[in-house]
Amino acid sequence: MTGELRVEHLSVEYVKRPRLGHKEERRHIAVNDVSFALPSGGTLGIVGESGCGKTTLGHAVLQMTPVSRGRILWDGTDLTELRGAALRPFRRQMQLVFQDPFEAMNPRMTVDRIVSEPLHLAFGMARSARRYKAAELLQQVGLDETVLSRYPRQLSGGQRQRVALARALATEPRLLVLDEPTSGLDASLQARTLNLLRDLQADKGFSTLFISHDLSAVSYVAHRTLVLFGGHMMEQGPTATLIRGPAHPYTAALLAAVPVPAQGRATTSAQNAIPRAGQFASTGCIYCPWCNQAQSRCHLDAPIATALGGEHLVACHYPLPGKP
Amino acid sequence: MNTRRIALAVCGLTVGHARKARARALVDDLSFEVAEGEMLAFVGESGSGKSLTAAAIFGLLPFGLRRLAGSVHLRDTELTALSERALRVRRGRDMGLVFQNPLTALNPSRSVQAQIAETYQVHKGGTRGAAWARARSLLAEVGLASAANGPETYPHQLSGGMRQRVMIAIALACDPILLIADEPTTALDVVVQAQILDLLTRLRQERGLAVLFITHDLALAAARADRVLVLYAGRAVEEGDAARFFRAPCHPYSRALRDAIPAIHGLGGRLTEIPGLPPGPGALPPGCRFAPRCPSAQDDCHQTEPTMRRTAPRCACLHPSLETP
Repeated sequence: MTGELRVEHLSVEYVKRPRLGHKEERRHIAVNDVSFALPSGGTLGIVGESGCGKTTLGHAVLQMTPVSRGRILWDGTDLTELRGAALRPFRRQMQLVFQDPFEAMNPRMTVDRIVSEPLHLAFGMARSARRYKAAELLQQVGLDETVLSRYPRQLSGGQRQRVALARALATEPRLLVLDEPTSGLDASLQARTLNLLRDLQADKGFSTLFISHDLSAVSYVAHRTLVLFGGHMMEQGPTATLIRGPAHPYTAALLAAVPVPAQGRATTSAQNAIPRAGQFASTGCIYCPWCNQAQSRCHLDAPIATALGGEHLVACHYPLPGKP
Repeated sequence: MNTRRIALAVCGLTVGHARKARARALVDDLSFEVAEGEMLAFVGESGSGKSLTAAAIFGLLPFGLRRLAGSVHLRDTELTALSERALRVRRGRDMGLVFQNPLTALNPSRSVQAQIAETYQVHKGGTRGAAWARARSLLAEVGLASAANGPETYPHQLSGGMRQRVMIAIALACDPILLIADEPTTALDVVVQAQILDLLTRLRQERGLAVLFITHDLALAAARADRVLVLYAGRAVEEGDAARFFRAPCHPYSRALRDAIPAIHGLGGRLTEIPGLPPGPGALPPGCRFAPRCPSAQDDCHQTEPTMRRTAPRCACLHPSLETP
């Protein structure tokens, strides 16, 4: 069991029922033809604006939302072909940590029950063994046994996030999907959570899908990064390459929106004013209505992802010259 | 900058429990000024008293808490001397407030145009038509053309960034002197965050609006504000020019906060954590409040509480790092 994830041409489409008096059903393509590979023990960052499909992509990988097209290969097994009981052993190997841990916990359960529930469900562990194991899991995320008897509302934001992490680790997953794990935390708690994630990953060797809009957090944890816009993959590659020399104009715009204090305060202004992605272009490149490099060809045919040397992929007709 | 008028002057503000006189003050002897057109950023961990200061300025402290000492001047008016009734007139007219979560602050059953017009009409009077015209022009000003020219729009039809723009339009309805933005972009993604801050910058330049920007994101504060004030456990620990502050913070707490942020262009190196937690109410350490978590604390730090230096760089530390950038 190595724990390698390959996603090939994945699309997720939501179909809305036809409105009264209308015949055709309306479709919303949340994720469109996205492919990536995540080697065992690696971390892939998925970045983009809110509504770009990054959460949907994470849920699709975990088989929490129906996949329209494409394959999700986990150690060579196509998860999209499995249903129900056949899928269950795989679910154990993949866990999700939500953005808001408070919303994701039953307020009437103590931390002990929250963390030991998956132990019962996945391994059928006895009650006494569960409590012992729960304390051990909490210790791994830097909490002591005193929190076992507390309720979620009695914990601070950082503690809650750790409990959520401990619960996800209970089934000894090979893949962790983290959906905006630090966006609700302040600077010092974020640093602690990111360091903890790094340590746990080095210790246990699971792979991570790190979903975030915070490029600086992604740059800290992710080996590779995938940039999504309107459900389409814009660019992916090693994080360092992407940040030092973005090839897609959208990645460059995203980077420009990150506040960079060291360079004074005039750096961030008009050039990063990206309009909301409400209406996408029907033909051509999905980003071209907002792109400042767009040429006539961009409005006509959609670019396909091409390799720019090594593992750096970009979906753009006129990629920016990367810096050496 | 010195020629600009002072919009808000807070002096010796102390907030604590109304009944328990001995319990520690939650905001302790805080003084600062914001000039017209200036943006002052309040930075600190959760629970450092940032939002409580804003509430005290507005006279909206939660039940059980009271302003124990200090004065708040808005231009020439002493706000703390006003009656509740007189203060209510000022709120919304002379000072606007933008919250972190616009969806809970907006009325879901009324159109955004009506909500802006209501604020205007309550304070400035006039006809309904005039108030609606004002609402539409404000919506255009904050960059919501569809709501400015189109049909009535309800909060659920808008995205998070657009809702925050509506909140800003409501706050601006009566040409306030001061705008307090309490974590306005925490729930938004980087791109929308940049847009909202561009909007605030433009409003400062065009209207001479003074902005008090409350955030826990030190990088954002340093990139966008004119000055930064760092709060720790209810006390100001450092104050200064934003650009200088980020290059060479002189208080160990400011330095720790800065080093906790992953730098986007500095790949690699482990993030520095601040050990422990801020002291809880009633559990203040003797001496410097930050000493138990401070990496460079010395013996005297645990005994003497430092005071704010009078000369720049202003910080409250017995052993500040005073290197020049």
